[in-house]
This record gives sequence, C-alpha cells and structure tokens, in this order.
Amino acid sequence: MKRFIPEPRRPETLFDPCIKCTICVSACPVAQTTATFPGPKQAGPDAQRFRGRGEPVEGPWINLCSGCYRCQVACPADVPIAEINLFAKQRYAAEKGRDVATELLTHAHWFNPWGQRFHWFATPLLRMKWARWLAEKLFGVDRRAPLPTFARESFRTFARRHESPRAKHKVAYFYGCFTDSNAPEVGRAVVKVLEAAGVEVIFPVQQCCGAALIGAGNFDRARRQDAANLAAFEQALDQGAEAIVVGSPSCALALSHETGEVLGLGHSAVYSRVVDLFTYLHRLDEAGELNLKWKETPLHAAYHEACHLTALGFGAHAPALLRRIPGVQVRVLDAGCCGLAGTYGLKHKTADLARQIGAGVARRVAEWRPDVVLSECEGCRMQIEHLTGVPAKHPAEVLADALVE
Amino acid sequence: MRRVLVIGGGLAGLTAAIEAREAGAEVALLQAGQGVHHLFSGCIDLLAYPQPDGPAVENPLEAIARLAPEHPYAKIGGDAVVRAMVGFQRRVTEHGLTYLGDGRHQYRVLTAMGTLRLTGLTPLTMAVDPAQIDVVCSIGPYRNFSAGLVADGLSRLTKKNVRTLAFEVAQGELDAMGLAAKLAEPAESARFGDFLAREARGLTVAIPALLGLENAEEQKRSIESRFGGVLVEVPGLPPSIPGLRLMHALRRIALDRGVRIAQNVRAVGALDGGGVLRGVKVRVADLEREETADAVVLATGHLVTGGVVSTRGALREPVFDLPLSFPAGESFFRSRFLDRAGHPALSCGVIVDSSLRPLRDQSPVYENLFACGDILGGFDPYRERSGGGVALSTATVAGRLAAGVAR
Repeated sequence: MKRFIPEPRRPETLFDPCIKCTICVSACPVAQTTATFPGPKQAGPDAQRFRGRGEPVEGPWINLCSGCYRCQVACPADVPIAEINLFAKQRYAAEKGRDVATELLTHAHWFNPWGQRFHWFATPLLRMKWARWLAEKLFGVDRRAPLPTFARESFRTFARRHESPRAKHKVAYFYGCFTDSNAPEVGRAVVKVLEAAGVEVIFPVQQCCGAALIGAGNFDRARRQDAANLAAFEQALDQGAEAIVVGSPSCALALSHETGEVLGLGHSAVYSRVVDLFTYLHRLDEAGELNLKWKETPLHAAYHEACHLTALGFGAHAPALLRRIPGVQVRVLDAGCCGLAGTYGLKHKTADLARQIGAGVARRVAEWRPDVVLSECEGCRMQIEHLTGVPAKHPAEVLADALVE
Repeated sequence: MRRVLVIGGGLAGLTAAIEAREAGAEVALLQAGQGVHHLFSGCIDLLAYPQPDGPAVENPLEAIARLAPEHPYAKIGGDAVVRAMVGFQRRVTEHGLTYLGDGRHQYRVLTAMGTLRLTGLTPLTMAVDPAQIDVVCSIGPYRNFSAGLVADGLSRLTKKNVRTLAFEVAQGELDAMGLAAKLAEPAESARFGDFLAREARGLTVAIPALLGLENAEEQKRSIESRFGGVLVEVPGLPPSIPGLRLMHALRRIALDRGVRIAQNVRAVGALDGGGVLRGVKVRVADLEREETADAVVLATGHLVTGGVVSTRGALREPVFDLPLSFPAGESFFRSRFLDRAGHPALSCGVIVDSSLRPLRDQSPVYENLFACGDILGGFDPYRERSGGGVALSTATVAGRLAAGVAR
C-alpha cells in the first residue's frame, strides 16, 4: 500500500513570512562581493511581492544570484529565498531570453557524451589557448575558467558491464553527467565502497538531473528529464532499492527538493529516499552494519562542504568517516562558498566575480597547504584546483583507495 | 560512544556541542538557520541589572550568588559560571580572539548611540576605557554609524572634547560585511593606518566595528603600529561583525573537534522512547526524517529564533511542547516598549531542574533531554543583561551532562 505523501510546497508563494531581518544578506557571498546585486532579501521576498501582476520584469541583476542556497539556509523564517530567485530567473528569461553561454553550459549534458567519445580530441582542444579565446568571444565561456577533461571510458559503459554482487542492502546509484563523462573514477570508487560495505548497487536508466537548467530558470527542459528520472527511480524502489544514493550534492538537491518544489512534478516517494553517499554510509554505521577495514593511508586533507550539501540538511558525514582511516588527517575548511556555483564560474560575465567569491576558500587552502582538498561537488573541485593548484578529489576516492581488499 | 544531538547553533548550541565533544561524545549539531550572531554585539554580558529598579552591579559573580532559586544561574551555581567563562576564553584564543574579563568587574563599552553599556567579557578590540577616547572616526560609506552622534555622547559623558574624523574605504553602497572585507585588505588597512598617522597620531580612536571577520586583532595591531595610537571598535547595528567573528571562531572550533554541523534542518518533534528520547524528528523544507541520539540538548533560543513561538494568547515550545514558566495573572507584554521592568514574555521559558532537564509537574519530561540558553525560564536576558553569560554557562553544564560526564 502506498503511503500518503503530501504535495510539495510552492516556494514562489512563500515570501510573506520574511521578517526583514537581513540575515540572508549577511550570508550571501555575491552581495558581499559586489554592489551590483541587491542581495537576497530585495531580489527574493521583497521583489516577489511585485512579480506576476503585470509589473515590469526586473533587471539582469537577477542572474547575479549564483543559486548557492546560502540565503535560504540562513533564513530563520523558512522563506525559500533561493527558490524564489529561480522563479524570477525563469520569468526574466521568458521575456528577455538567455545568453549563449547559459544555453550552452546548461545543455552540457548534450555535448559531454560526444566530448567523451572523442576525448582524444576534445580534452586537448579545451586546453588550447586559441580555442578558449574563441569560445570566450563566440560563446561567452570564460577563457580562464576551469573546464573538465573527458574520460577514456564513460561511467555508463562501466556500469553496463558491471555486475554488483547480491547483498543484504540494495541501492540505486545516481552518478550524474560529470561522473559519467568526466570523472568515472569517482563512480567506480562509490561502487567499490558501497559493495565493500555490503550493498548491492543497481544503475537505473538516468538522465541529467537538470540542476544547471533549473539554476538558469529553464524549468520546461528540466521537467522532461526529471519526469523520466522519477519514473526510473520509482521502479528501482519497487525493485527493492532502499535509497537513491547520489554522489554529487547538486544532483541530490535537484532530485529531492527542486523536482517537486520548483518543477512542480507532484508528490513522489523518491524525494525522501534521495540521500548523499556519506549520509547513507552513516545510516549503515548507526545500524552497526558498516564494517570496513582500512589500511594505513598517510594523507593531510582539507574538506570543503559544498553549499548544496549544506542545503540538503544532513550536514557533512564524510569527515568523520575519513578520520577513521589510520593516517588520514582531515580538517574542515569552513571558508564559505568556492564561487563556481554550476555554470556561474564558467561564464565570462560572472567568472571574475566567482573567483573573488572563492578567495576565502583559496586563502585558507593556501594557509593550510593540504595534500588534497576533498569535496563531494565536482564544481567545487574544479574551482578549488583552479584557484589553488592543490589537487581536489571526491572523498569516496580516498575511501576506495584505503580499503583493505 | 555516546551520541549527543544539539538543537540550535547559537552561542549556547555551539558551546554545548563543543563541551559534549570535549567530554568524549559523538556530537551532531542541527540548526534551522545559522544563529543570530549577526544581531549580537560580540560582548558576553554576565549580569548588570538583577533588579528592575535596582542599580547596576559592579561585580557580576557576587550578584549571581544572590539570585532567586528559579534563575538559571542559581540552578547551576557560580562555580559553573566561572568554569564556563574560563573554558570559553581559552578556546576562542585558538582562533585569534581574546576576551577579557574575570566576572568580578564590568567593562564599559561605547555604543553606536554614544552611550555606555556594561558587559562582563569583552573582545580585546573593544576593551578600552571610553574616557581614553580622543577621536571618533567614521568609515565610509557605512551608513549605520554617525561619528558626530557618538562623539557628542562621549563628550557629554567624559567632559572632554572628542573630535570626529571621516575615512572612506569604498565608493557606492556596501554593507558592513562588504566594508569589513574591503578594510581587511592589507593595502586598505595600511592606507587607513597612514590616514590616522596624519590626522590622529598617538591618539585613541573609536571606529565602527568593521575590523575583519578573521584576524581582527592582528589587523588592529598593524593599523596601530602605523599611527602609534589605540584603535577601539564600537559595536552597532546588524549585521554585527564582532558577533559573526565569534560565530565563525566557535564553528571552526566545533568542526576541528569533529562536531558534525547540519544546517537547514528544523527539529519538529520527539522520538519518544517512553520517558527517554530516542532522538528527534526533523524537517528539511517539507521532507521529514529522524535523527537518533542517546541524549539531546535543546538550545533553540527564544522568540527571536523560534525556540519559543507565540500563538494567539499563548507562548509555546514547538519541538517537544515543553511546559513554560509564566507568572500567573500577568500579561505577556507591558505597554511601554522599553519598560525598565522588562516584558514578562521574555522571562517565560522552559522550567528545569538543577541538571537543566525540562520539567513537567516537577519531574523530568525526558531523562536525557537538557535545555540551555535563552529558552530557559526564570530570567530576562534583555533586562538583566545576562543572555551571553547564561548561554555560555548553562550550555557548558548541559553539554557535559548530555555527554554523560559530571558537570
């Protein structure tokens, strides 16, 4: 029997509880960096009162919101400020259109598989100065911004031939576009850790979670993708999967909150089953079922909590687990947003701003000089490598390497 | 390992989490928002006005020993207050914050209104006798500080002629956060130091509290070395940089010790194990889930932060529906906003035993639930000027008891 699941809330209607305390403004990395953005209070709940009644649409400043969710997290009155801004972006784009860079980067999931297939050509191309100069002039993709490399073998190909052994627990793994085309080693590490923990991993058919599209206010396109994802995940739950385990926080946020609240795809059992990898491992541990054996791994790591991981409300479970590995030292950076915010740090218009936002993270990494920076979010990893030159990894990669086989 | 769940990320919540962790527990701190440190001056008030009509006390610890038994200080005792203070001062030093005070004296801190306030523990950047101040300098384009108003008030108080100066760090509009970040740039700090060397060499200069979120003391010293005088921060309107500075330091102390901090998550109910809490029900947006623990510390604050909510004609504790103390026959609010006797609603809070366990009909509601900070009944933090001290000291006790060690 299906449990009653209430309809998701509608963020665009929830501006009234704002008590004008401005705590969101003090939490906004953009407002602290530039005076050209009016800040989350004015852009969100204040402006929302005037939207949708034939009032003229706002200025392009709405696109300066990077979608980090820090305002929404900080709000003591539960105003979904970041989501209100998403609706405002949608409205702005519907009237004024989107620039080429936004269209291109939010559809990366179309080009990525091709880039991966022709990785021997695409990867070096994206490292060529003239190509990047051209991409900036033609498409508005910042020529200094960090871009990923393409993998020799996609994660999808690995997953197709991979048989996960039967086990007591079973989860569906949502790996996401970046892991698929650009970092399959992260996906393989996630699978290795889960299997070592006694979990069978299945790979439901999946499309891009649409986080970047939602961030640009392109709800229609994202809705199609996530409707298909929901159907596939509901089927996986019916087949006995306990959870939809997600490696990337932004994908998890899109699949558990934005799909219902922003895209309005109605109620689904999926939302409450979407969980980030380390929260899932923590739950196994609390049940006394996480029995992993570690080998000595000398590593001095800094952990960066992605803004979207914070927004998920589980907190970061990775540092505690990493600290169990003998030899691993982890310190949590807690130095704010890295600035990349999906496509924000890649677009020429906002890339400089993104680098300024990330200066606090860069400063602390430079101060601590760790061997590696760990973060679940691929955007943060790219940006931190770009800003500091220190290699960045998914924490699952450290776990996978430290497992005694 | 004993698992402790702390609900609330303000001064009390962070302190309880750190204490429980230092006592050997595995600690998770859940917070709905990010605390209201941006409303907090950065000074830790211990106790200034125990009686509505009485004079200010000059020795907080001595006054604490004479409080009525329902006051939270009285429940935990003066020694616990001293231990909490010392523990706090020791910890924040790790992150470059020096707090002065021993609980036996009051500091007088200049305010942005040009008045003086009493406080028990004060950040180094504010710990200067206001009578020493020669000059008040505004930092443009910060709008929430009038050097004229402050200098005028100060001149009246100290009977000396206090001058004003104006320094510009940026053009256009920037709030306190943006300005503090700008002024923290080494080149800007140096320029400010050189400006003071020209205009106020060797003098004591009060400025709005806009030194950096990090390394404020180092910044103060480097500016002072350029003009050979003394710099004093004046706390003012939100967002308060000294309050946020303290939050950043406490967060990093908690994270360094291995506390897990989960934000954006609101506790909404008990997981009742029959007189014992198994944990709490929590909500993120509209998704519910459970967090289990061996002990829970409730540090959700008061009306401002949702620890106590007002409904028509009543006040309520929304997570566990705990009984609240309320003097019978009184109305919640007095007619004058700044009434010297305070508003009864603000001293209404959770009733606890000497182990800080919330009570219903004189017995603990749950034997493993502890409450601390503003949510406690029996005191009015605003009228008494005791909020910071009560938060620190009750959190220290609650954190240790939740971790299963002696207070």
